[in-house]
Amino acid sequence: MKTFIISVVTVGGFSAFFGALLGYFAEKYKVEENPLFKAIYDVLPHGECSACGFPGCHPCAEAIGEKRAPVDVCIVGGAATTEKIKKVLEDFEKKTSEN
Amino acid sequence: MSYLANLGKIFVASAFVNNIVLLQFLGLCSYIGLTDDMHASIGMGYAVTFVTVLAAAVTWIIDRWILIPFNLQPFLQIVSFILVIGSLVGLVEIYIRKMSPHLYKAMGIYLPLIATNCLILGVTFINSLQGFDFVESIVEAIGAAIGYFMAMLILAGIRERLRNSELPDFFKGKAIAYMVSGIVALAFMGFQGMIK
Repeated sequence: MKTFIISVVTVGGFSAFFGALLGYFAEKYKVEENPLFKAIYDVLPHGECSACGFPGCHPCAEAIGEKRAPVDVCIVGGAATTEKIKKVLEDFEKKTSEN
Repeated sequence: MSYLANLGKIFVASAFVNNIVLLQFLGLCSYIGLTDDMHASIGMGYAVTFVTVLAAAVTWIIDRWILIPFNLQPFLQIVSFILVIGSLVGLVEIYIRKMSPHLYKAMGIYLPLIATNCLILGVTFINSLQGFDFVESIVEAIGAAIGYFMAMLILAGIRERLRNSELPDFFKGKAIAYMVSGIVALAFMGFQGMIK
């Protein structure tokens, strides 16, 4: 029982310490994200299935935003997601042309 | 033998005589995966050096001051070492993403995969098994990381030349990379017996 408690306390302590460290550095070295990528990412299905050929939904959103991938690349989302992505891209273009 | 000479021996042994990539076959994933790009290989070399040396220092402290006194070493060693290595890789990833987005892109999936790179866990286990003290552990880690860096640079340089040379179709890409690393490994075997 004593070994059990010591193991739980040590590993829990390490995890808490390293978690706090990582959290602090993630906040300190925060990367400003392109708002377009975030908008596209929000309408994707978040299944992280990689059926589009990218490692996950976020790389897929970046690829669509940079026009490296067509708007209908997401297979799981189907036509509904394609429409949403088109709308997001149109809104973004409108906003940039206004400025 | 004096302490300093012993340190030198450990360094030469881990960098050349028991080169971690070419003679112990650890860390082959990023070795083959990233060497088609010189820039990415250099970045990876720095990242792995940083993580290996820091991991060796932190795991030595954990191993010697917590795991061994409380008799936790047999079952908690892998878990706690991986925890340390994973956190350090997370740190490196955050830093590279902020400081060099281009390098972040070039390294792609191999950057988070340093966490599962057997080279780093291998070095920490070698330190633990050999019963090295703190300075010896660090020297062993630096030697192993420099050995890895060297192997990456050698193979990246050779592959850069190979891209412009005429090869049979079935040798192109990873096949010739494996053959070349075999020959380089043979060359490194020449260091065997240098240290008694």
